[in-house]
Amino acid sequence: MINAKELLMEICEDERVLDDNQELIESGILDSYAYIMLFSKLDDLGLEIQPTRLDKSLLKTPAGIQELINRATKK
Amino acid sequence: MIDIAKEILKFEDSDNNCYVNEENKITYKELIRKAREYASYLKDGNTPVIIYGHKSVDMLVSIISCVLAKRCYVPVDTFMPLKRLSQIIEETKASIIINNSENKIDNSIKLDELSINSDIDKLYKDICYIIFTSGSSGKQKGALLKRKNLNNFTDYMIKFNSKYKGSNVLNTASFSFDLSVADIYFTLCTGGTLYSYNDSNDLDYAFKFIKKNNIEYIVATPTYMKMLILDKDFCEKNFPSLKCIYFCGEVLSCNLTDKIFDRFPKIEIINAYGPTEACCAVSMINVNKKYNDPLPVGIMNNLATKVEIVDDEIILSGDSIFHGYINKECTDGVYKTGDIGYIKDGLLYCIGRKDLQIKYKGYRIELSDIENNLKKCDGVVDSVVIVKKSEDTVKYIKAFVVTNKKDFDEEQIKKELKDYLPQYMIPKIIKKIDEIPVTDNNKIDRRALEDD
Repeated sequence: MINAKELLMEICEDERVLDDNQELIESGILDSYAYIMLFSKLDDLGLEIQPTRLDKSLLKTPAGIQELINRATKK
Repeated sequence: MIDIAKEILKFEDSDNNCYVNEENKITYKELIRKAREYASYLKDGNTPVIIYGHKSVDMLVSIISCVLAKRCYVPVDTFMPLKRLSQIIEETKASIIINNSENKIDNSIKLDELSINSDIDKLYKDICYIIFTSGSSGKQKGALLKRKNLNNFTDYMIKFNSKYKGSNVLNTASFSFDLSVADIYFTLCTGGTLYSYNDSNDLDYAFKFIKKNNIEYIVATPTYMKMLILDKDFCEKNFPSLKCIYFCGEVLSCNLTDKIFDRFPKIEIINAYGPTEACCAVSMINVNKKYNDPLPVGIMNNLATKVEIVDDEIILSGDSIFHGYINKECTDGVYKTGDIGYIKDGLLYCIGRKDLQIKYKGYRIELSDIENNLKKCDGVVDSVVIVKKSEDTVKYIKAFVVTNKKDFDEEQIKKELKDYLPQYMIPKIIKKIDEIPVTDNNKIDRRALEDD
């Protein structure tokens, strides 16, 4: 299973992403570059996630992104 | 060479929409009627008119009013901090500030409050608009673009894109960035319809807007397209109207063009190059699958202005070259871009910078602009700003500061910086260091900080 926090750490290089409940969007941690990298890397890892079809609230925290990954993995 | 005012006026009887955004729209007939009226108030003056706002219909009406009045305009987006706006007002000595936003701006008026102004400063007589760009000193630079520059560029743009005249064009850049010059004037001078929406980060909304309005031609930075292409629904089957994407403002890579061609096999991609100082773009080329990285940015026998390479640097001259900066005229008609480039097999290539200027999310940024504004923050004694890159793309901006404050508060510094810099220039990470590292030659050792 892909670890969301590890992936976010690699992309954002910000230790705050190690906190499950860290707010990612308003804080600027998940900016447009990080957003692009996140979906690109998930695609490279074989997960097909379409940004226009997902529950956007899941992008707000590392825990939410892990949930996103878990759901996509089960498909 | 065309005259953009005359080209736009050709459509004054047209009931077709010329500009559509999320809240409103306006036909050519209505735009020109209003712009003529406001132009009558503006025509006797020569000081620049600051047009403050985001993407409202009144922004476009204000711009075209100035074009018809042959009055210099300065587009300023609402994302610019008020201190930067104050600096622009001071530098331009603008006597009119048209406020097309809900923000309260001192000494400004609403568009419909315009009345006859009788100042007669001749300095800006031939200047069409002023675009402010990041300045290495920490103060923005106002680039003065002449009507002749805009006529020359628009003529070139129309000829290069003649098959797309009259298209539904998507504007993605703020009106205070010169990328928008390509979409505004190409559309309005060919009777097309310009479309624009506010929030460029909402992919859902973007898809619906592009689809609903049958967008045929998109003017964008590669960063914008990287967002759209993330979703596999962005493809020819779902967007059959889309025929051409015009890129400028950032390096375009095969990685992105390959993905676009996979989704849209018949699409045309144009890669354009040019600094603000040479009116939007000086060169363009249709990029197809035969090219590898680095992609060419132009064809030497099809340019808007003269382009030469001197000591690896791209040097521009001719009809596209600006008048100069405010208080600093460009007297020899030559502009040294600072871009490193070369010519090969009749094609122009641009491969980097000689200095500390970067492109980040399509925005042009002088790193020392950020450094100098950091030093305005409470307790910051010295600063160095670097970028973290991934395969030649800037990932984010990182700052190192030397501070005389015992308690270092990164968020507090970021908050203070927002008074001086737009959001996209605020470093993602600000780290405290005891001293700035230097090399054996006593220069700032940026490499050491990049490895941090």
